[in-house]
Amino acid sequence: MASSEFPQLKCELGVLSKSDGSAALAEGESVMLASVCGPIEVKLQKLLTDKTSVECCYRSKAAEGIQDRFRETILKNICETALMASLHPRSSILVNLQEMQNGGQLLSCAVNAACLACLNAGVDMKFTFAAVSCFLNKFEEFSFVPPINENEVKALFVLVFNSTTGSIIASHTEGSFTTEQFQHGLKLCREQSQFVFKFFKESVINFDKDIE
Amino acid sequence: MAEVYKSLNPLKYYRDYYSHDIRPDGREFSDIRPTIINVGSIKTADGSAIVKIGKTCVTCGVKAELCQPKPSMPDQGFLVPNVELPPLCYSKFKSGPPSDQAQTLTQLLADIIENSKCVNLEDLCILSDKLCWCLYADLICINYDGSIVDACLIALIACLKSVTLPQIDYNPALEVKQVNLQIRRPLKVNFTPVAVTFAIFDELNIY
Amino acid sequence: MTNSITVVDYFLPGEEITDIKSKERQTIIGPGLQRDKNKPNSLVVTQAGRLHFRAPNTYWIENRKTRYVPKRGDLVVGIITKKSGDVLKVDIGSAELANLSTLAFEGATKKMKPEVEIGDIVYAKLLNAYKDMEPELVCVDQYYKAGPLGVLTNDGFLINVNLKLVYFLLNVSNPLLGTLTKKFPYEIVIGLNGKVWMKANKAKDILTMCRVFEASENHSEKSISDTCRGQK
Repeated sequence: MASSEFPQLKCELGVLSKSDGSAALAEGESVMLASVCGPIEVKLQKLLTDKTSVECCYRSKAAEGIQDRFRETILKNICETALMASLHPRSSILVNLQEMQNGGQLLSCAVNAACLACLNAGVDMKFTFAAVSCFLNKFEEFSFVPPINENEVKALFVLVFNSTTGSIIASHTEGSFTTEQFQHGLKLCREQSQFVFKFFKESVINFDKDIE
Repeated sequence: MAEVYKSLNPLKYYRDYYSHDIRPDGREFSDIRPTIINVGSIKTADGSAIVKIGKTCVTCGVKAELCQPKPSMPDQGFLVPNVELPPLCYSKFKSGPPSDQAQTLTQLLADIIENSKCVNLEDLCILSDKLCWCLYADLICINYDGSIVDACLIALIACLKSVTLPQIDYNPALEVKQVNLQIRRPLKVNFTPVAVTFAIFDELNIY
Repeated sequence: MTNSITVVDYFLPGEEITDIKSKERQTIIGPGLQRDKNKPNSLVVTQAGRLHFRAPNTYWIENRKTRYVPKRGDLVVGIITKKSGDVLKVDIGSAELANLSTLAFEGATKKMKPEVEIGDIVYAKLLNAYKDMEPELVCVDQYYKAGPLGVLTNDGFLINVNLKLVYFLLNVSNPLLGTLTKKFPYEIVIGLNGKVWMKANKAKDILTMCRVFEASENHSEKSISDTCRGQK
């Protein structure tokens, strides 16, 4: 029923020299650039006395809109769950994302890029997180690759998983679908997330490899 | 006594209740708070609703305007939700431009309308590429006490169901439009999407 | 002592280390690790990096982190950014500016204040570094003697390097600084916060040092040692 083909993942870590951690990630045709700074000085307005305030900034290629704010909220919630915020009170961690190319799975690409950038920055985290996008086309077929024609998408699931327990830490859906379809999509995404975690590990090890 | 206990050991307070499968306010886990809907209370709007879920209160008003459809979608009108979280409803919110949370809520409602197709935007078109309705749905939170998405969505749908649009006589040759306020027809709402907010406590059970 | 350090494996945050070799459950943990309350004999990784182990019981994670988190007792290099009364605010690269009292210099009194200007670079020791308070610096040891601490002269040069290189440079047996000594005379102050202050006779020598450190950031210790040996 589902095509097992997964969009190719490619990434480069430490692309930006002035941020604490950065990652450029290509997930199929979607490309995202993420940078993480922190813990750094916090604006008085956003100061939290018991934990780090996590700030997310998402910039799309087009003009700014409320859609960006929506994505920022999703990303912020994910990062707040994953980062060990209580270690550095009265500071802030900035997670910046710049959309480079939209190939259909922007949100999952953004989440994965943010995770890679956090790993690269060496911020303390409770676990790593990976997002998987799954498309349901109008022929009721599941696929990880977006259909060529945008109108063929019946539904889109973006599910974010926790690396240690495998539980869901965020879910975002578009379109309409049945509960069974969601369950099936969830199963597919969960299986796929293992490969994403493996990719993360390989990328980070690869980056950390010294020149012998 | 219970109040003191709640402030001293809030976690235990809730756990004690939940171990008896009941909430502190006496509700079962699957019960929602008492919900009141009042439709059509704002006379100046084309449709309105006030919704209360427990102490949370959201009011919604729809204003219809005539405009030209987008060239890319000449057969569709517009339905634009906008959520406001004024400082009135919760001390955490500050006045000024819409907060991130308000913008997120607005986007969420727009997504729900689009995904559920509860209002067929083609119904809002009067004449292709020339004239259509633009419905501005303004939601204002009066009291912020949880389940805000649920309240906003109920308010929006209740409000849309109460919307009546006046008849328009449009003469494309002369580009003359005449609004007939006496004849109003209701807006067709195909589906009723419902939002449910729940929390997971202690990761054991869903409440 | 360096020989007894073993690199265990590469870990990502959230992964658990269960086979702890330390005796009698007394494990000393360094950066990037947390204890798990429920499982006394295992550690949880919080930063991506290579797990290092030094017999008998010390574990830590090493990676190419650049952001410094203050630790009590660390010797750091900082820049004075603000002066308010008796307190100097020092940028040591952490989330907050560190406090340095003007009285915490050798021989300083209420009347005899040290000559410190905004923009000056100081070599100081972290007296306090609690997560809920601003870090506090001093420029004297417990006997109120300055020793190597204090204001560094303005004719030096300051660069930032990643923390891994700092740990390497501060290891006495590292061959890099020795090799440089053979080439030209220089002074160097290495702060644990990744800020390195250098001074040499010629600008050319300073630039050489900058280039050396920049290149070393991405090389393994072995490769650096090999290169140094090649330089006789």
